[in-house]
Amino acid sequence: MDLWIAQLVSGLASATLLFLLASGFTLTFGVSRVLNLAHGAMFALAGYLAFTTSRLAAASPAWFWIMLVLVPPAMLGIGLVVERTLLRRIYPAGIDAQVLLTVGLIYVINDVIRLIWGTGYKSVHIPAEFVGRWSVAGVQFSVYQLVVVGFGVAVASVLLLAIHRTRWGLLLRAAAEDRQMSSALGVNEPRLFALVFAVGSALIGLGAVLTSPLLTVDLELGTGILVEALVVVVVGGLGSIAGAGVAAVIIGLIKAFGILIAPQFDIVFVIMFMALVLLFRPAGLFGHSE
Amino acid sequence: MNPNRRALHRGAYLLGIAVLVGLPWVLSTRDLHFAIELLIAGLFAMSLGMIMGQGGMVSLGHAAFFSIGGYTAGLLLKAGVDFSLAMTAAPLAAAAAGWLMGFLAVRRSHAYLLMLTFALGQLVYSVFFSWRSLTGGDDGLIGIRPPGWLIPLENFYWFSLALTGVSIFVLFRIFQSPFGYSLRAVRDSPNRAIASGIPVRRQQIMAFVIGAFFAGIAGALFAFFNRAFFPGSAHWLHSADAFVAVIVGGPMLSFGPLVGAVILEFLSEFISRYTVYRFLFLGAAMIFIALVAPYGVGPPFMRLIARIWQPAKTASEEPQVPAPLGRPSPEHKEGEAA
Repeated sequence: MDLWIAQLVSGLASATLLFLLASGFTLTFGVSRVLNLAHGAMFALAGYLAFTTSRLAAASPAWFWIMLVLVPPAMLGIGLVVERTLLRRIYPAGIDAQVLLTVGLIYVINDVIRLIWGTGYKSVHIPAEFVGRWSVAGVQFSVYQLVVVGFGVAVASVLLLAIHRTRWGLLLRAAAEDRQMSSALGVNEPRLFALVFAVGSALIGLGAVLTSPLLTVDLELGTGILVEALVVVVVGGLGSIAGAGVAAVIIGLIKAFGILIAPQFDIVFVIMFMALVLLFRPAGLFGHSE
Repeated sequence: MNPNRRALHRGAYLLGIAVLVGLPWVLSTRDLHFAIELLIAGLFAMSLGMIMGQGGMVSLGHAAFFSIGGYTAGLLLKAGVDFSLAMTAAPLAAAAAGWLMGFLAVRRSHAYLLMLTFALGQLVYSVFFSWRSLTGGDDGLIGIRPPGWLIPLENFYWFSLALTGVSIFVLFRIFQSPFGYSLRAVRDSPNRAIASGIPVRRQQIMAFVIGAFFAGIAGALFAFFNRAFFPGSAHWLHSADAFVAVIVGGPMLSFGPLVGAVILEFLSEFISRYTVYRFLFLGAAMIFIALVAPYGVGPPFMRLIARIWQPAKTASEEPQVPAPLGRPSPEHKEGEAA
């Protein structure tokens, strides 16, 4: 029983990461119609940035919070630069050029990481204030995993509120619904697209900061997470934040419990689940059909 | 086409074949290695051209077929099966996988199709990576021994040249066949294709089967060439290599993928002779191409060739570029993507 509950919490922690990545990806697609395959590589980059920040700030007792304050804005800046200098030039060219550009971006980011940090593993430890386990009614929880889940729920709430209750959120939904119409009504599209991509990048940074103590940071980080995030996006329905949230929880739990059954094949369960969903609901759980 | 021109064409082809056959007497061992890799990459890209160019279906899972071909050939050969049988089984196994992926994936298009093929390809990758008892996992499937007559590098080169040459020739014949025409009809206007009675879904799945078949040949060649096979060949970035080759060459040109593969292989080889950070420059080159020629360098290149080849053409006869019929305009593609 203890084991099951422990796996539940660990599944929810990985769901948090998947949600943070998938929501940025799905937003970018929903609004700008851009598939950013470099999403995973940007996550790896953010992981290395988190590692370096944690080392530089190691003397301070608040190093975790410093990391939390610095890395997401840094990723936001990187996202803005990428959108302004590269992505926006190929919006009209369709999906082929997007793949060409974002795969090129992956190669560049990977080699930049290799150039700066080398090829070894890096790790960030769990901040002292969250080390240990809580025991509730005889069941043990990892405190840090609970903290991660808490952050995830908070960010998800803020995102949903922002999308459904603010002016920017309204414009965003309008653009996702009918781009030509919203543009005809005077929505500043270039700014909106840049905003969406930058927010997605900042979410990548947040995800990297939160989960770097739970993962080993290496060059393979980007690919593994990209596959899972894409599965979440497909299962949830392209363009749907709520769908990404629900799908992230399902996929996180499938991974956590799949590990108990067959440790090496957790990704096989995940992809088979996706295939099943697509057989019965081709547009994903929350998606509109094409 | 007038008889003189036809003779000229035929002469050019024969000269090209003679040069390719003669390469082992000219090239160094290292360059011959590169030439074999080029042939394999070219066939791999051309086989994806069947799906992406002719079929208009984006796919980021093509490495799955390459690796199924490679592992099938390698495992059978290691199990003591005859070489010719292993060479035949590899593309058939890949084609079977192609049918399955096509069956699962062609119900969607564009971004969804891309992500589906991506995920299914990674599924194959993770199976090969994790199933250590069968494939050796990360350590690779080693000790694949091709028959003695394939051991000298020149012989392997000629064998690869013959196999890829015949494969590409057969692919061209398929492009020109009624099936090829109906597939392009499906690509350019699905609704019109349905209305004219073309079994759209069946043609699309068939494109996956044929593309997978030839990717399987490329994979088997690769396994025999390296005498080993690694799960990295199933990785999605290997699929992306072929994808990028198709895009760079121009998917609408029948031999665009071949041109793209040659450009990228030369670029990559050239860069790696100067720096260990090959991917930094390769990636930068890809970004550059995406920005300046988002529809591939093939079409502008072909226009240039056509201008040199046929200088005295009038404007009305200008589109003599050997492109397939009905090249959709960029606006058309954009409209579909939205």
